[in-house]
Amino acid sequence: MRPFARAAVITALALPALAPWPALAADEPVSSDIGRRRIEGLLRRAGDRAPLAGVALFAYPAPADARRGELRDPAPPTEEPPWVRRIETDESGAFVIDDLPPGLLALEAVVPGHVRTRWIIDTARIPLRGLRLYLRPEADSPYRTTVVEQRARPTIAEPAPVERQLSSEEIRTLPGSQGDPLRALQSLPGVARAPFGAGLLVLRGASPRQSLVYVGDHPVPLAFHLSGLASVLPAGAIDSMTFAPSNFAPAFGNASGGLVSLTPRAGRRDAYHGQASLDIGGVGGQAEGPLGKGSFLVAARRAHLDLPLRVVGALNPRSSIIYPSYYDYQAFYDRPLGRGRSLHVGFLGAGDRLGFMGVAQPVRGRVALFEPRISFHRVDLAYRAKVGRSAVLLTPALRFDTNRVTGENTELAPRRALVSTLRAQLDHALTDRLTLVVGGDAELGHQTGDALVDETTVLPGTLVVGGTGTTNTTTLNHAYLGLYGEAVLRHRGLMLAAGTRFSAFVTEGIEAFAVDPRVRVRQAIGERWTLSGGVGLYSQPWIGQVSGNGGSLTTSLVPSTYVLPDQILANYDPTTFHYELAMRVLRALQASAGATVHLDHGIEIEGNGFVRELRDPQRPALYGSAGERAWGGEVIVRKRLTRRVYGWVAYTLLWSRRELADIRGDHGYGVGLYDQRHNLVAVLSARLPRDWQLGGRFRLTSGLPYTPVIGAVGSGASFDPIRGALLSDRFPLFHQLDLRVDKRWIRRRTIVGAYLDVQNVLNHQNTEAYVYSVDLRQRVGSLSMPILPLLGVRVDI
Amino acid sequence: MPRPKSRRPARARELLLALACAACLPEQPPEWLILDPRFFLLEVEVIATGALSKPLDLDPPGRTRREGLPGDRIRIRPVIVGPGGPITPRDPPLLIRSGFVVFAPDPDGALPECAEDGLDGLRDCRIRGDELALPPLPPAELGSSFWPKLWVIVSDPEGPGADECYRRLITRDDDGLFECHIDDFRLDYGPPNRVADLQDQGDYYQPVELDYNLSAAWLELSIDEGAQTRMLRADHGDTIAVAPDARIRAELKIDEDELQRWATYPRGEVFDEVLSPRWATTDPDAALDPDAWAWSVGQRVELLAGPREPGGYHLYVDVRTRVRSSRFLWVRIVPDGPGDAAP
Repeated sequence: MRPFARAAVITALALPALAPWPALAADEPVSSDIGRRRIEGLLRRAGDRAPLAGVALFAYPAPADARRGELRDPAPPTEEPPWVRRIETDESGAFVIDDLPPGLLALEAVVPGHVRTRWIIDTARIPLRGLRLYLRPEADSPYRTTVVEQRARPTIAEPAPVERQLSSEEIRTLPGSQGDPLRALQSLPGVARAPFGAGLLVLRGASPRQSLVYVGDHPVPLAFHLSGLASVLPAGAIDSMTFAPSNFAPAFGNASGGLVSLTPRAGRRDAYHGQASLDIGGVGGQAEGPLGKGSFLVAARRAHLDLPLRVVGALNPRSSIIYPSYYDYQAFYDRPLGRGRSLHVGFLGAGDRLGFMGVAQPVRGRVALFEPRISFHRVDLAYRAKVGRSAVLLTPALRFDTNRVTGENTELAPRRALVSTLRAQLDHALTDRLTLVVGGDAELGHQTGDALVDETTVLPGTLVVGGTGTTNTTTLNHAYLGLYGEAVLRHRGLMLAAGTRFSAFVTEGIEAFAVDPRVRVRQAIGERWTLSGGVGLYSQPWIGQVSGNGGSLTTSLVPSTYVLPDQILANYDPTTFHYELAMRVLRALQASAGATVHLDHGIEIEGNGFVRELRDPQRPALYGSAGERAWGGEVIVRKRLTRRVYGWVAYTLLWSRRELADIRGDHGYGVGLYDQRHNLVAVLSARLPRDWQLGGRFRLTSGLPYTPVIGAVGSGASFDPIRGALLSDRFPLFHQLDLRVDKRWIRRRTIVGAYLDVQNVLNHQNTEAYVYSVDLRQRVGSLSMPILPLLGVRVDI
Repeated sequence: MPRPKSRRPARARELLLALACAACLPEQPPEWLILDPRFFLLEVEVIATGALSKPLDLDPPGRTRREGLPGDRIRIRPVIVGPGGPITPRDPPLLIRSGFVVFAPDPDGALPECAEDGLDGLRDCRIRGDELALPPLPPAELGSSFWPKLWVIVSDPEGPGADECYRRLITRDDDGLFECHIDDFRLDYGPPNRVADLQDQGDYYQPVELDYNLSAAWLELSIDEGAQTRMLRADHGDTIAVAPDARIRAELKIDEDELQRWATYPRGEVFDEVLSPRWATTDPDAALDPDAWAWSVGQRVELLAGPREPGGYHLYVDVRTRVRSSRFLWVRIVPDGPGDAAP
């Protein structure tokens, strides 16, 4: 036996599957009459056809009565084969076997994480080339091994003191999130549960408008679709997601809350792949593959939930129904330019329509009482280069936003914006321990809207865009510039980053400047403990704001008999310039500290405390609040994804306060809009045999505060609510159990997956809004999410 | 053999409805259904005239004016209706004259008395009793859309009283205001031709009559009791006994001679005054159209008397101009047997 063959046999013997071959240990001479056949083939993983590189294939003659074909988990040969050869696949999964005698040949692959498979082939009948073998992954093996591209961007997403990540597997199978990354994020500590499961990221008590979501190196104006069912980027187009609830790096600015960074995924180059998905909410498709020297990835999705709801509306013509519809698309091209340089080109966009349909006049049938339509479209380039000890990033982007609201007889405030952003960054490793990061980012915006001049409502010095009445087209230009520098020291388990961000904000003649020093530190103690902390200032320019009382959503478009959560009203009002100063700057002091201990079996426990103090001195007196204060703690006990199980139990304790002025002008702190005192989330998901997966999520949260109705003004059938003390009441305790079942069928070239995600399995009535009689004297109903089964299928090729 | 009827369509419909329930909004009681005491309308009557208006004794007998000019005195009467009929408030209404769209209360909660005539600057002030003099606004401001404003606060009979309602309103007291009735009304000046005269635009309107409240209005009822159909006239405050489950059609009738007529300058086109009834009832089985609040005179509503009900049901009608109530009437329907009109 040749030395390599013997070694292969010995290796095989070390594997339990081949252990019953005692004879192979013998030094068996290889037959000398081989040499008349040559086989060229490819070994790939079944389903996604990923090349299996560096995999050993064992070839040996099969008995004459062996059945040709593919055999999984085969029994060991009953007789000792006369010879065995070991072949190894190259980077593309290709293999070549020379000098094969005619007859039946057994090929056997033993790859960890894959089902042991034996192929019996007739060397006289198979083609000389093009043999395709597909190896099926084990049921409890991660389907996709994410290959992280080593881009020249070591620090732009440098983690905050607290940084949490979810694997693609966790995102895909997390109950209640339909495989959506940002909805999955809402199950982590530090993230409040939004009313109706809406797409609002409330990070450590900060308003969703105070946090930013980056896609790539630039922010997007819309993280979630309006319905809240999905974020604007599907999981399949994301390489990784980083979430910093506070204390993020100086490289990011213009936010006073937290940060979520979604990194687009480069298309695969190993082959062309496609994906199609269909569920009750929408239909989507994705394709990727090599293109020239680079790779591409295109994806698109369209929600069709409005279509069945229109049918329901036709069946029940007197009901009021919400019709959500949306689309999003992504197209990425990534190309390595050689010598550590790369280029990324991205197109992405999203659009939403959310129609509130009601019966206003029986003669005319159901009409859209209120229908916001928003969209954005973005193109961006990113050039990265790694030269010696330096890494450079240069990335411009151009974005077009639209925002309009149509109603039964009106169209409010169409708003358009052209926004260009630019980022340039240099990372330079001064020594092995010390890295210096310097860079700058800029945002230039030109917004056009319809301005209303209304002497009864305009506050002095305000720019009012939106509303009804006589309008004039008004433009609003803004420019934000940020320069940042940070030194990052890494030494013996210590990461110490200290830096500053200088910001300049200019809007229509209003100028503001901010200097935001930030320090972050992380220290590993032994192999199990990590301590972390951070403190810093964060500045955010603010153009336009709506309050729970001031926007057109509350005043004219939603019936006064609906008492919606202020959190919804404050974030979904379409006329973002309503009754507001042109620009002001919010400043927040953020501090956090915590510890993580890593236990055995992939279990870790993490605890953090945080505090956030926000000042907004120029906030109009209309809102009676110039400051916000939030503090609390988070604990998560997490079982990292291993072979079969992942899960966590997360608890957040939060106090959120905002400054209030009473009738005498005295200031004090009252309950804040996002004061969700207790938030408990438990997640458990397990892989089962035969590619089944079962998971559950349970949430228990305090009811959010709202401003109660204590009376009404009006007569006849026209009444407006009189509201009591601001945020002086709370909705009831919320609890919900979601269950999800996944099943996959892995074929050679395809993977078919199906899931059933049942939200609110117990059909618990979680009141999230109240409905009153026309004179507001009686609560006649409430709004809540009933049991909601969602069935979906997905095909990957 | 006939095939059994498939249940699939029904199931599909149920499934679709179930899927959509997440997006469905709960049904609310119709706005015309009186479930609780409700501020229904405000009656206004000019009771004394000033220097700018013609004397009241020149008016036709039985007619009252609903709008006055600066210096005239008016009396107001809030009408509260409830499930058991019209309601007498616990105490006289609290009237607050305000220069603002919303209240601008004194931080100390003080509410000064209004001067007998004249404006009180920008401060809110309270009016004693249910009478007040119309402020002497400059002619140019007589047509202002929001000035002056009159707030009316009324308490339920079991409520805390009008003054306490005001205190709770100012303090946003946790005790709530659900036993209080609050509304704001613009004090209209009229009639339009006289206002136009004062504004030197007298050529625009050429009135034939003054601005009067409607004096005659009644309901014509068609009562279908199965065996027979009766026609009845029901006047304000009448109680009508009907057979249980009778179907009643009600049509508002007015004396069309009372409708005022207007001519425009320079064309001289003549228009009749447009009045429209707003219906409300305590009968949950009534078949009032959702648009019953915007019907014109002559259209009908239909009530289903339902089972025997000693208290009966009430039907309320507010006959309105575009902005102002011109006549209120109510009748009671008692499903109590095949009787005739009760006394």
